[in-house]
Amino acid sequence: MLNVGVLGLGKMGKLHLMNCRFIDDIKVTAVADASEKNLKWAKLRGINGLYHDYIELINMENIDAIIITLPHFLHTSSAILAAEKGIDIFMEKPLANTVSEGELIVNAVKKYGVKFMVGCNCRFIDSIETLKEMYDDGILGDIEIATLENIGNGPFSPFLEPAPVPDWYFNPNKVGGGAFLDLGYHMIDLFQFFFQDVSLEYVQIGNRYNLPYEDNATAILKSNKTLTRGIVNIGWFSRTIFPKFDFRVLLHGTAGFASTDDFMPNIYLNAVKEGLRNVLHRVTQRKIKPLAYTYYYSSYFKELNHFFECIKYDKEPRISSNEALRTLGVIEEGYNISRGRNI
Amino acid sequence: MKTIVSITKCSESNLKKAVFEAIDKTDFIPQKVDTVIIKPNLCYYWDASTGETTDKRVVSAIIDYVREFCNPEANIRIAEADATAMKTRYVFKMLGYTDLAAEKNVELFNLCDDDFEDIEIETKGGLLNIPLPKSMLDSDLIINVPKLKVPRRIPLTCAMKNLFGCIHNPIKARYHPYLHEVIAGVNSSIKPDLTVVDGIIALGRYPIKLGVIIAGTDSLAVDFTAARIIGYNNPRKIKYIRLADNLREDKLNIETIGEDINDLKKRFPKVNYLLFSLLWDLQLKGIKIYSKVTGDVVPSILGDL
Repeated sequence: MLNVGVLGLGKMGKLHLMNCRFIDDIKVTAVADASEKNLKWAKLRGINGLYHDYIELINMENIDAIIITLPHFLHTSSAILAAEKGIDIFMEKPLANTVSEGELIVNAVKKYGVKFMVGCNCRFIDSIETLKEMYDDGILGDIEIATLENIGNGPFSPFLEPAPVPDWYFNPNKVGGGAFLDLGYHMIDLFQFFFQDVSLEYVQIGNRYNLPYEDNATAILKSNKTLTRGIVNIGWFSRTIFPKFDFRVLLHGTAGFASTDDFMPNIYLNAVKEGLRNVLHRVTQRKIKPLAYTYYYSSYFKELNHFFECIKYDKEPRISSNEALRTLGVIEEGYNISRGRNI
Repeated sequence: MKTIVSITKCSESNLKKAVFEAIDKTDFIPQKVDTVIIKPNLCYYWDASTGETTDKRVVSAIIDYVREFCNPEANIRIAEADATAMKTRYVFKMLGYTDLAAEKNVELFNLCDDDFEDIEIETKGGLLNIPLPKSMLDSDLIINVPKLKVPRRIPLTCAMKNLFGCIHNPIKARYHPYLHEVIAGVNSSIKPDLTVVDGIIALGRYPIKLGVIIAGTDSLAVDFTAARIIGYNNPRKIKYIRLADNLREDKLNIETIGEDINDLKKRFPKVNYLLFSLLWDLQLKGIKIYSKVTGDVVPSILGDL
C-alpha cells in the first residue's frame, strides 16, 4: 500500500483526492492546505494527517508519493523538497512558472531518482487516444498540418455551486502566465505526444479582459522530427459552459483527415450509458469506471491511475520530465517573442 | 399615477444619443445633485457581448448625462458588491470599468465596503435580516443599469434583480432559497430614481443583439415591460413582480413609448423557464443520487465535491 499526500485542496486537489479512492493499493493519508475549511472537508473524508503547511506534511508524514496541486509559484519548492525525501511526485500542470524553475525540478527528480509526472490529462481523453492510434497506425498518412484548439473560460469557469476564483490567479507573479501557460501547456504537450521534438515558429497573444496576462493566443508549432506544423488556438474568453466543450485536435494527413470531434459521444447519452453501467457494476460488486459519465473528467482519473501504475510496476510515465520541460520552454519562448525580445 | 417606460433603439454609432433619448422620454426630471451612484450588473467575469454584464459604454453615457444635466461636479460612484464567486476589484478591471473610471474621473465602489443598514424581510423560513449598503439608500441620485436576461435561477433578471446584487453580504447564495421574497423586499427599500436597461445584447436561450435601451423611473414598471419582452403576457406570473406589486400602495399604471414590444418579443430567444428549471434540477438530483449509489466522483464544476 502506497501512502499518498495531497498538497493543495483547490478544485484539482479535491478531484485527485477523490479519484485516489478508486486506485488499488494506494491511500491518501495526509493533506496540506492553507484553508481550515478545506482541511475539514478532508477530515470528513477520513484523512487524519491534516496540515496547513505543505513543508510540514513532507517533513512529518511517512508518505511514498505526493500529488502537488498547489498554486503554480509553489511547484518548485514543494517538488524539490519531496524529491529530496525520495517521494514520487505527480504534479498538476504547468511544471513551473519559468524554465529555470522547471530545470531545478527536473534536475532534482533525476538526482534523487523519484517517479515524476506532470498531469496532462488531455493525453488521456478517449477521443485523443483514438486519434493517436489512428495516427500511429498510419491511417491518415503523414500529417502535414495539425490544428489544436481549446477555448474555454480558464479559471473563470462558473461552478454549479458558486465558488470564487482564487486570488493568486490574478497575481501574475504567482500564476506565472495566462491562457498560453494554462491551456497552451495542454495543446503543446499534445503536439509533442503526437509528433515529438517541438519548436515554436510563431505566436500572437491577446488580452481582451484587461488581465495582467494574456487570455488568448495563437501559436504555430513545428515538429523537427516529422516536420508537421501545428496551429494552436487557445483562449479563456469564452462563456462556454461544461458540458459544452470547445476542444479539438484535427489532423490533416496525406491519406486522410480526422478530428477528435468525430469520436466525441453525445454527452447526455454517454452520461446515461456510463452511469447505468457503473450502477450495474456497483450492484454486482465490480469496479466502476470513475467519472466516465462526464466523458472529459475521466481523463483525470486515467492519468492518475497511470502514474501510480508506473510506481507500482516501475515503468516510465507517459509524460517524461524532459517533455514537460520542453513544453514549458516553448511557452517561455512565446512569452519572450511576444515581449519583443530575441530568443 | 402613470409612469413612463421608454424603449429606444440603439446602434454602435449612436449609443450615447440613444441613452440620452431613452432617459429624456421618461418622467425623470434632472435636478442638481451632489452624490450619484450608478449600479451596473457585473455579476461575473463575463464580457458584455455574452449578454451577462452591463456594457460600460451605457454607463459611460449615463455619466455624461449626469454631468450635462444634473451637475458637472457631482461625485459619481460606479458601484457593485462582491458576490459569492465574484470580486469587484477584479471584475471592474477585467470588464474595463477601471479604465472608464479613470477616463471619466469617477470612483469605483465595492458596496460591501460601505456602511449598512439591516432590513427585515418575511419569508417562509421566518424573518431574514438583509444588510443593505447605506449609499444605495441615501445617495442624492441612484441610477440602476441592469441587463435584460433570463438566467438559471429566476424567470427574469432586470431592474429589480440587479438590486439584489447590492446586498452587503458577498455570500448571496444564502438568500437563494427565498430569492423572490428578498428581491421584492430589497426593492421596497432601495428606490432608484432612474433605471436604464442595457438591452444592446439581451440573453435568453442564447445572446441576441436586441439593440435597445429601456428606461424608466419605476423599477417595477421597467420589469413589467422587460417581462413582456421576454414573453410574459402577464408579468405578475413572475413571483417577485407579483410580490412587489402587492407591496405597492398605488396601482401600477405604465405607459410604454418607443419601440414595439411585440417586435422585440418575437426576436427574444425565449426560454421555457419551467422546463429549463425542471431539467436542471433533474440533472442535479440525478448526479447526486448516482453518486450516492455508485460512490463515483462529482467534479466541482458539477457541484460541491
